Formats: sequence, structure tokens, C-alpha cells
Amino acid sequence: MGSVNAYVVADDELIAAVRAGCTQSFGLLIDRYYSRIQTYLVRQTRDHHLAADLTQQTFLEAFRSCARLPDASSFPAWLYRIALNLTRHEWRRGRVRYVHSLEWVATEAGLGSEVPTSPDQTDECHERMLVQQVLAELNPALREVLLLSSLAGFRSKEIAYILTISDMAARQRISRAKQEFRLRYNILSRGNDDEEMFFSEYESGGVC
Amino acid sequence: MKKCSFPSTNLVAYADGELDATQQRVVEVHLQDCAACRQLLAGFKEVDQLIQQHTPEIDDPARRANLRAQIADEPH
Repeated sequence: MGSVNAYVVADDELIAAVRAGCTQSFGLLIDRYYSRIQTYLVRQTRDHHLAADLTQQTFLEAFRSCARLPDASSFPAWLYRIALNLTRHEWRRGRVRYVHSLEWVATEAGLGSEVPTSPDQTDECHERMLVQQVLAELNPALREVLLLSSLAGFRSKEIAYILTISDMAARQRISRAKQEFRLRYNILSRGNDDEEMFFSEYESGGVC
Repeated sequence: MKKCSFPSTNLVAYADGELDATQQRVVEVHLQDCAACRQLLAGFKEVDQLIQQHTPEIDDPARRANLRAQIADEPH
């Protein structure tokens, strides 16, 4: 019984193949990045349908313009930049509405109609709600940076490229976003009357 | 805890691995003596972990397959 040689083709090799006319290679890039881009766009727009449309537009634009990609190894950052620019275009058109509601937070936490059957599941539920609530309450510019840094894993130079700001400005925003998130998270998780009321409403609705 | 004037942007760059060896050493020496910055750096990592662990990834295999088909039909 031998070992499986699981060679993963690097992005820049796939891009080179696409530029040489191999459409299938772009399909592999779609498989690799589709859910990440969709996740990012859902959290940016708070609209699953709009996010699905923008995800499709992102990849179509990337495919049509991959010859203009300056550095094939920066494909992920370039892809997110396309996604962000499309989102901003929709924002200017008034199609992006930041809906901040209990139901939306529960949806973003991925919580369905299952009732937790163990204390661990309940803790997990609460933790996810806390995190999504803090993200939802953040200033959009800070949330945007957190989605790129903490969730997508981009470094500050890549975030600077995506947001078309300086490296220093990107680092300042990342620092501020993470400090703000942590502060709000700590306040919420310490528990207070408002928080108890929040969870009471949520649990009685049977969403968790 | 005593507040520190060491730029937090240096900690961001350090956490991202974007400093050269000399700059990295400067940060590491500072961290040895500064509990506030160690706490801030640990806080950055905690935020990353919280968001990664508690933000479910969203996928749509049907739409993804449709997109692949659409790309296959695109002139290239």
C-alpha cells in the first residue's frame, strides 16, 4: 500500500494554464476560492442573494481579466479586491443594506432550528452568537479589515493592496479593529442585564 | 497595567511576519519587558481564533457548478 501523492497545483501554475487557454484550470480556482469569497461577501453585504450574485461576478471578472493580473502569486488578494470593488459599487447604488437584527446575527452564526442537546453545544451556540453580534456591531471599515485579516488570513501588506491604502494605514486599521473587537467581546461575554435579555429572547424563539 | 507607547502597528507587522530580522529582534526584545504589549499581541491572536472558529464558511455547490459551466462557455 503506497502513499498517495496529493500534489496541489499552486495558484500561479493554474493562472499560467488559464492564460494558455485552459479553462478547466480556472474551474480549480473556483473550487478553491468560491466558498471563501461567498462567505466574505455574505458578511460584507448581509444579503445572501446579493452575495451570490457578486460572487459569480467576481469570478467572471477575474476570468476575463486574468491576463492583467500583475503577479500570479497574488491571485487571492486580487480576487478579494475585485469582490470588494463590486461590493462598493453596489453600496454606492444603495443595494447594500446593513441589516442588524437578532435573526440576522443568528443566521450569520449558522444557527438553524436544532436545539442544543448538551452543555457544550449550548456554549458553542452562545459563543458563535457573541462573535457574530460583535462583528455585526462594528464600524463597517473595521469589520471589513477583520474579515480580511482574521477570517481570510491576509497579511497587512495584502490588505493594503486589497483596500488600496498604505501598509501603515492597513496596520493601523488592523490594530484598531482587533482591539475594538476584543473590547466589545469582553464586555458582552462578561454578561449584563442587556445581554441576559438578548439571550432570553433568542432562546425562547427556539432558533438555537 | 502600565500603558505602552510602542506602536501597535509594529506588533501587527510582527504577527504577520512582515518585519526583517533586525526589526523582528527589536520587537522581541521589547516584548520580553512589556506585559502590556504581550497582552495586546495575545489579544490579536485571540481575536483571530474567535473569528475563525465561530464564523461558519458558506458554500453553494450548485451555484459553484453553474459558474464552472458558465466559465467553460466563455470565449477565451
